[in-house]
Amino acid sequence: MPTSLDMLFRMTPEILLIVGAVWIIVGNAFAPQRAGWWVMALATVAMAGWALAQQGMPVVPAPSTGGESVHVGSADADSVVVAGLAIHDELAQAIRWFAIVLAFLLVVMASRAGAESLFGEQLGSILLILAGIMIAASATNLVLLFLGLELVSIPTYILLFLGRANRQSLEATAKYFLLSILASAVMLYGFSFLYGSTGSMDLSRISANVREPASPLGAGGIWTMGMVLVLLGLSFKLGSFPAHFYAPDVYEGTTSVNAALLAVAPKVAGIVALVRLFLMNSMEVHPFLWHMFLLLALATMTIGNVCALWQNNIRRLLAYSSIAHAGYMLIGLAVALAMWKTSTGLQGASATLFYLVVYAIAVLGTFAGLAYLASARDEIQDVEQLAGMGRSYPVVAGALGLLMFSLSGIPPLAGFWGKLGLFASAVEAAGVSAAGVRSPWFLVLVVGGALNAAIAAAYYLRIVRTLFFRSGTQQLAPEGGSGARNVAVFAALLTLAVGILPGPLLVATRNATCGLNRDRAPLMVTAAPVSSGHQDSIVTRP
Amino acid sequence: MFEAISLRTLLILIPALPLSGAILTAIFGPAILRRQSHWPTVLGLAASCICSLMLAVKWQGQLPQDGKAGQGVEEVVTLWEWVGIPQAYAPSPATGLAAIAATENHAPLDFRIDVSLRIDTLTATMLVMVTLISTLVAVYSVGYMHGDEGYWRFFSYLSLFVFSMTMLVTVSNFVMLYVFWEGVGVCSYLLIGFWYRNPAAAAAGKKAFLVNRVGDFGFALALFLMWMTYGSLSFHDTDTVAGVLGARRFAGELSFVGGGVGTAICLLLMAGACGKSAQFPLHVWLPDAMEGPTPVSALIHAATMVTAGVYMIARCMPLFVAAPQAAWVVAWIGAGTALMAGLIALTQFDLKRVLAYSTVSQLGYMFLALGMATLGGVTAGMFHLFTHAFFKALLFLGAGSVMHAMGNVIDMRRFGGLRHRLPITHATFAIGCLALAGIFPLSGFWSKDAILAAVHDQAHATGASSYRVLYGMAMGTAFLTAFYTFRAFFMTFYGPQRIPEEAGHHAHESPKVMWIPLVVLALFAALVGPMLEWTHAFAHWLQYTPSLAMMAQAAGATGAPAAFHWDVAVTSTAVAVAGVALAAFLYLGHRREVAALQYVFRFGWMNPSEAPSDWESASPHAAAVANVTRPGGHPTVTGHCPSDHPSGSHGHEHGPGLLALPARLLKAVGCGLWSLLTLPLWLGQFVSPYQMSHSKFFVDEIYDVLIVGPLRGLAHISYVLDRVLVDGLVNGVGGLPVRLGGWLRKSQRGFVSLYGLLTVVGMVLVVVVSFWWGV
Repeated sequence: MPTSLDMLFRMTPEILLIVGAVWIIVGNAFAPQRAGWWVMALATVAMAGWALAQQGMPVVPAPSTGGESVHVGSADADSVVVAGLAIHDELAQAIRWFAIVLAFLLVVMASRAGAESLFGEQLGSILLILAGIMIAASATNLVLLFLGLELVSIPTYILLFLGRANRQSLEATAKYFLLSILASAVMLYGFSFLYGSTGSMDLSRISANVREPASPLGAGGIWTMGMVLVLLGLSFKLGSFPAHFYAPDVYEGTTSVNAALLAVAPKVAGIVALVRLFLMNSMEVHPFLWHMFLLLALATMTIGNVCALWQNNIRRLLAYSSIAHAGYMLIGLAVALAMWKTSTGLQGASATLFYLVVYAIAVLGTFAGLAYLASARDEIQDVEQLAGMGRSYPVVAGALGLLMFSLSGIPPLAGFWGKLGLFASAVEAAGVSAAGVRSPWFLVLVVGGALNAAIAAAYYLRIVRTLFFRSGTQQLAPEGGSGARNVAVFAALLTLAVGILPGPLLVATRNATCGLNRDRAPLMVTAAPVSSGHQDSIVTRP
Repeated sequence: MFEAISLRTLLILIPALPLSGAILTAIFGPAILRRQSHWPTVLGLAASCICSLMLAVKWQGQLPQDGKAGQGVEEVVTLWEWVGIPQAYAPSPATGLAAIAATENHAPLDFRIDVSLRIDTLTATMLVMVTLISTLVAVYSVGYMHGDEGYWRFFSYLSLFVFSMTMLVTVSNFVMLYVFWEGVGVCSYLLIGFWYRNPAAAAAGKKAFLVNRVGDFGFALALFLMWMTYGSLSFHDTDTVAGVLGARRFAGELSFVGGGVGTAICLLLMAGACGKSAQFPLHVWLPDAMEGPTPVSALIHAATMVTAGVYMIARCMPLFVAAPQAAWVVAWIGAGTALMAGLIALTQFDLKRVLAYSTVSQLGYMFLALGMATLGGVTAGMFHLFTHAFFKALLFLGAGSVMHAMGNVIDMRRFGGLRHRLPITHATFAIGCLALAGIFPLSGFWSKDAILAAVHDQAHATGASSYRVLYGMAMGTAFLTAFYTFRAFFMTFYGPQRIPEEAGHHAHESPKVMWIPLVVLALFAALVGPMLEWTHAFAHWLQYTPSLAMMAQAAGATGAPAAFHWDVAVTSTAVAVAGVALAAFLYLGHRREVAALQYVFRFGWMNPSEAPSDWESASPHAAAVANVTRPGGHPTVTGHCPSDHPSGSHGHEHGPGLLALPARLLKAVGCGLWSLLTLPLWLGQFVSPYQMSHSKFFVDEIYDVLIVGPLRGLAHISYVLDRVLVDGLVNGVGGLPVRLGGWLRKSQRGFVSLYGLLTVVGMVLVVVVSFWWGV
């Protein structure tokens, strides 16, 4: 049993982030100067990263590259620390690291954001939100999970309000606030069902108490109802159907930095929460649940993409695009949920995580590019405003173009491998018969996904065309600061690098998920034939 | 210093230098170097040439000193692994293919392609030849291309070509061979269409590319079959798999595949070689390729690239030894092409086209030699490749010099007697012609004699009459070669001096930078043969190539290079001299005899309206009127209807008389009858020996009717289908998402309460649908 000191040590990164954030928010009121607090925020992130590094990663044996199969299990139980309400397993550590990276990028990107007197609050809120993601990633208890998710939501309200103080911005803030509360309420309602049906707040106990297959109307009916409500509540965080309506209005009304945060942070938190709740334990789920995931995936993708086709406003366009990407991620989760007994399920979950990372980097870079190009008074709104950028700002335009290609999933960029992994897992799910859950519906899902990818290419490529093949009508004065530009370029290069060498990230995401079915037999990892540099692995069960 | 540079370094430098030349020229050419764009190329090629010579000398030092036949020496430098797919192919024992069955216990084979360079005597020979000639041609081009707007582009392409060509002869893997095979093809395409604003040049480039595709398709199939059969595409043995032409196979541990599969592989390889080396029926692109700049014709379409097919067959000789029928086909295609191209070259008026057909013909000679599938044959073929490169490059560059002086006029009827105006070109061209005609003691004599001797030996060894026929065909070609070469020579440099008006004040000798390469090449054309063949040094050197050594080994004692046969030498010399003498008789005088001969051979006597005339001295316009210059032109004798005279002297033509209808009927019948009667005469215009030769045996026209026309029709049908059906479908489907989006976005009205309501409704909807689905 870990002592409370252990637990404190384990939570140091989060504590550091929160302390730093509070310090910055309070201090800025007395010393309103930009550069100092910006450096302070960076230092806080660096310290949190250092503290996280001290904990080390759970040791996951690397699969051998030879042709023969080797046993690769989850990490040793010793290296996974369960500290009170939190667990620091492979998934938690991976997401916490990712959060640190995101925090770093967001802080760099926000170097010129907002008014100077409110700059500290801006930075502090960003740090708090990332701390929230880290907490949500490691929570094993419904209370801590809710805390983490709210720590993502509440500073967001402040941030949105801190944006440009105009009518649109205020309207966006109010909308987000109200709908977010509605979603949180639905989620909490779901939590109460879970507690009511199992008598525990602890995730492992919850699943332990629902071992037998739960049907919506049978013995586990209450539990299943709770899961459904939680899913629907989290769909707000993901920006997926049916709680996606806020996204276009809010993205349109707020600054680029905030939009980037909105497009990334809640999605990361939401996906992690879904993975924890639905996949952490080896419960037998009723097909009802993955049917719902599948439906949500299809609906979300389609709504996001077809609505994006109509948009001339680039911010609304990107909002719909982020909705569509949430739909893609749900594909992997649907596969994972349906096939959790098999290796395909693991593949689906790790494909989702891979996609999450790739998407987050790309969308962050895109908004960073827009933030850079914006003037001090106005954000970029119309796609047309980007015309001729390829000539006047080739570096940023090149980065944006690359990111658009990645988002539409064109090889050899990271987005391609993301979509490939998701679709491949779904194709496999359609064909797997070992677990008996085989369903041709996954084929429908894949076809739908592929059609959607084709639709999506239309509007992404429209942006590329505007950037490079249209002559500019108006002169922009980029005042977003070099930080934003650097983030855009960095994200583009990262996207390219992951696209060319997807191996390391694929391995990392697979390792992150393999701790989720700890109570299983060790997995068989077979190195697949290496084709054109793509090192994928097929995981099979002995 | 000389010793310090390793074979490996040299092998890498030889292709790397031209490549860097190409890149430098491409980067700095347009803006910085401009008129100096030739420097990276010329320097790179010269350095590459020096490296090749050093490599050859060093390699000579590494050969075994005892000089025993049947010993292959090679060295392979593997740079990196290009493709590696482990366990790509599990040959099933049921296929029972000997080549794979012998590999270790039917384990799945890795598909692995290394970027590996090899050095053996065959490669060294090719490298020296390619880099030497390309250096000279590059120097020549400095003068020839002077002032062209694509100056840097030309040199960049040229360097790129040399890179591809050196790689082609150095790589040690069939896939890499294929890659650079295509690489030289691309460079050839770019250079044929170099003056892309000229529609003829653009069309010629396309034609070359497309015709080569046909051959390459065969080559690709050969590679697939080879992979299925041998389980490897390497020449050499790698650590895991025995190569197709590897030492283990040569040592007899593993077998070569014969029979149907072996023959198929060889014939498909031959198809590839036919495309690249312009052999019948894929020879049609080479004459058109003369639309490119003349140095390109000299380098790519005479000396180097077109010999890639010969090189490839020589490299794969063991496969052909295992499939003798295929080798027989090679010999017949070679001999047939040689004869056919020689016949065509007799009547061409375009100096470069004469040389182009001569190239086709000489390549046919080389294939004939390879088709013997004996050591003597292959070494003779390669030797002819080597010497031919020099004298044919010389001839082309000489033709370029003539063109340069004549203001780009290349029709031999429009100039003549240039020997005083272009003395150096005249002298060097003469040497080239003598070499090509095979007159003792120039290079061509030795190599051609070696080929004839090889065929002669084979005819004696097998006693088969088919080889005797081949020998006869080769001898006949030798006569034709001497004749058409000197016909061109005399028409250009002798007779009364005639200079076309396009020449302007340019009608003088070319600048130094152009004639010095000519002189150097002339020296080589004169001396390479006697120096290398007097002691059979070339054949002895070449037989250390592993694939040829294996052949010598298999043949045992009789595998020695073809001995010098006095009877063959004397016969061939006599034939060549007869050809030269005939040309001199016909073209040095009044050319009245030429006209008479033409009159006979074009069946002029069948058409009374035509009188013998001085065809060749007539202007091309006059010739065009007589409809003999262009295959597309209509012959003069068409169904000439006597009543269809425009003079209108026939009364019943006027007025709508009662007899009008019967009269017209009568007229129609009369016309029909007349046409029928004159049909043979009309056809005779086409099939007369002269017309056959002049129209290149109508191969282009036959392709037009049989292949191009139907394909064009099919393309049109596909186009219409695509436009109407596919586009309609796609646009219809493409419109769906837009309409759906238009409908869905109506839900975005901006009211929070509406969003909340929609969210809740959506949630209920999802739950209900999932529920019903689940049940």
